[in-house]
Amino acid sequence: MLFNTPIFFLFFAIFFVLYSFVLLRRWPRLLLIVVGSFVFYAGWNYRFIPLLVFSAVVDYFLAIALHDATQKKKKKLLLAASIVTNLGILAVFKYADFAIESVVSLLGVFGYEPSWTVLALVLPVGISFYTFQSMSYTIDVYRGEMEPRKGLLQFTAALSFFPQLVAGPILRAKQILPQLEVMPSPTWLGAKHGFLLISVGLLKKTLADLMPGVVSTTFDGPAVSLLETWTGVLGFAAQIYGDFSGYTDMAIGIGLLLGFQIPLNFRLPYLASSPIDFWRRWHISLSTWLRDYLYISLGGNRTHHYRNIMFTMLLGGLWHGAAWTFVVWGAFHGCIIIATHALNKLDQLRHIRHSKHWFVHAGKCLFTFYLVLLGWVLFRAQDLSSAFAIFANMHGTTPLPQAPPLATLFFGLTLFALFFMHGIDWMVLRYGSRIEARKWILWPMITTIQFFCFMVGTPSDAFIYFQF
Amino acid sequence: MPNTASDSAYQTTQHNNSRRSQIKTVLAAMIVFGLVLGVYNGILQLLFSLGADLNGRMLGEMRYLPELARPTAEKKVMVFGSSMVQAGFEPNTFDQAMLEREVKVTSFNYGIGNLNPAYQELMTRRIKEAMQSTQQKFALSLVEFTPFQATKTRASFGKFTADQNVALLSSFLELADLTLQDPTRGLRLLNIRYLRSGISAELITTIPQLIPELDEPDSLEFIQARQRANKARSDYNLLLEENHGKQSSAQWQILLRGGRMDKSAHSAELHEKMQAYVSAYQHPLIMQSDLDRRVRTADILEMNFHPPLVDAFINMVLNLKAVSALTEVILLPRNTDWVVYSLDSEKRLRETLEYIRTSTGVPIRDFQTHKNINPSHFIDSTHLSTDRGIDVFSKLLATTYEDLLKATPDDVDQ
Repeated sequence: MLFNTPIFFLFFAIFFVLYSFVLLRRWPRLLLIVVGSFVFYAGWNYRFIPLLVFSAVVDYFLAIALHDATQKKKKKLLLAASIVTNLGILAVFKYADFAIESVVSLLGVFGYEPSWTVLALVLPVGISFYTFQSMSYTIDVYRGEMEPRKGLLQFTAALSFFPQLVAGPILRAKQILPQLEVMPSPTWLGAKHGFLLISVGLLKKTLADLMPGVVSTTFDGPAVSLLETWTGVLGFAAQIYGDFSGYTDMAIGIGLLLGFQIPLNFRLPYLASSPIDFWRRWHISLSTWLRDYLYISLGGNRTHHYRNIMFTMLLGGLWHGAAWTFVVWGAFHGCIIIATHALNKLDQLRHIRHSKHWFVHAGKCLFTFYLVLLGWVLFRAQDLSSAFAIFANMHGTTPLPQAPPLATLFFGLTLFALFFMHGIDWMVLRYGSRIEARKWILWPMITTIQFFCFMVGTPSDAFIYFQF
Repeated sequence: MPNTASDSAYQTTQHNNSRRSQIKTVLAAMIVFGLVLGVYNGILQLLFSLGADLNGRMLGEMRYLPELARPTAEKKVMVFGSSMVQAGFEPNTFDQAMLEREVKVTSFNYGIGNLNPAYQELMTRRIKEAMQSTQQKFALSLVEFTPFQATKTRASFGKFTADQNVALLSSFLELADLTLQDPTRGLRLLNIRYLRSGISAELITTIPQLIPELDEPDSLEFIQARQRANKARSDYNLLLEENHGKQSSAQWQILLRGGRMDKSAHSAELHEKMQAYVSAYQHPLIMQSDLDRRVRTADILEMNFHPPLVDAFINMVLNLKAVSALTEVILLPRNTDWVVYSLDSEKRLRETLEYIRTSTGVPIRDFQTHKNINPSHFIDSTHLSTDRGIDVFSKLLATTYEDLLKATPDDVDQ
């Protein structure tokens, strides 16, 4: 059930009416959230609902046991059980085939050809999001950062809360559970912001859906001209940003209509001035999760700083998908982050690092964006050899066909879409509250955006991040 | 329970504010959605009234089904197929030729472009229902098999119109049934049919793909030939409109039974313009470009068939067979200068035709290389020309089916 489809519109209309006007007490509302979220999830595959429930039940009871345990050893064991269960679910459903294929390939190098077959399991939608969310609860309880909650229904509602269930943001237990305890009352101010975010998200998603054509030309076929290669790479940057940030904007907006606060997940990532800055702006809920629960647990910047960064980024890459391209993408980002840290230590570059001049800042942003684009090639390419071929094509190091007549137009439109997505995000971040205060700007703007999306949307396209 | 009166008052205020905001949220959503729907449908209606035509012929064919099914004294002949039928069969010419042979018939051109058998099958279901509702039968149904419409390439091309076609051609009960089986798709189709004036978002987004000029060669010679051809067509259309009012071959008109206006009413100048336009389009570079496009979008030369589309075609034939005294599958003339089959593709075609014949029990008549038709009768690589091809072929059909129609009893009602 995608946010930009008629079926979700109908689902949410019914849900909203029941939530706002029929079920007015806390417990029935919690039940509605759980049932509604399961219906929402069943839109893809109802068979995986028990897996979600299993994750919720295990972590709910483990968290209580963790809290009650007095011995540190027992606490550690219980935490390990939670981590093993969640990562085990991920390992089986997401990484088993990747591991089998990799081992078979590796053994093949040494002349062994085992007759292992892949499991070919269906990947449950949103599994990477809710397992991480569930794990954060037991880790927080273990660290004493939050008390375990009594009430399985409440915890299941937190884990399955449909606006963010399948593609994030990764909502930590300490962010959503307190809200479910008080069932916040929606405000008109919040609702207006919700409408604005839903519209902006839908607009970005609609623009992203116009990109697959140019992206596929570059990534899925024979070599194309230099201009088309760049169009495809920029197109993918626009597609993945519009698709993912559009989805999370809509998720935040829907949450606000119900009175819930879901944290920001993107903050103008392509305007980052360094790879470190990029990860403070891109998929913030994942990068902060990895920072808080993995990087810091490994020692952070106190010991083996660079090793910790590389390990965190490798796992971050692997989180996105079970393929070597994702691992290499993670490693690439690990390398450029380490390189940034190393360069930051160089005294010779001090004046550049501290320069406030717009020209220097623009140069840093452009170079960071170029690095991010190289990363997206690794992310999107069918395999590593295709990725390297596209790198070569991007830099004109191989003979390429001549650009067709409309290539310049498509390049311009793609670049415009990329700028426009960031432009509208910048506007909402900077002037959102002023727009919301002026109804003669807000409502025509929302209506115009909705009209555009209604006109040209491609509702049959799925969201890219659902597969992670 | 609140501890104090002020707590209670505070909670009540909170509750009231929250309720007000929820009501406002619902109202705002309804107003925005209503405005979007209103403006969208208003613009579309305006465009339709100005002559924009995205589904005109298909909807016309469906809209006039009651007329089609009305009992008449003449025998009814249905010619059903693709744009090749639309361009290549003239009901008036056929009926006149039959009248000269003392057979009174009323024929219908149910040819339409940009579809494939999957959607045409839905159309034949509606035709069958209409005919059964008045207990009428066609004396003869000719169902055109367009080989390149049933290929794998064709199946993947034009997916953006898939939902739109299904939404418009399905009955409400079929849509309801589909919604129960697959709520996501069903609601999308209901949305297209009842809220979007029958135009899907996918179609609007991909309209550029429907403009062949965007995908053509950029050589100077080609561009000049294309400009000359477009100019000749525009000159012809202008004079036609001047002399006879606006004519739209894209619209299905009951008076013309899906055909075009009678050419005998054309002035000499108009006829000249028509010939100039046809001959301008017969330029080898334009022909080659048209063929290339058909190869890309429909695999016209190799014809790797898509079994589900062939099966849909079989269902089409069976639907029309159920309401026809006589049914035949026909293959329309082929522009043999341009569309040249390899031995393999010829073999695939023969095998597919045999499969159709055995599955439907209906004879197949092949006009592809008929001696009466030559490449000069075509306006492009596939369609017969408006000036001569359509007349020659319509008369050829009359000659071919004269005896069969004479032998058909006058009363062929169910």
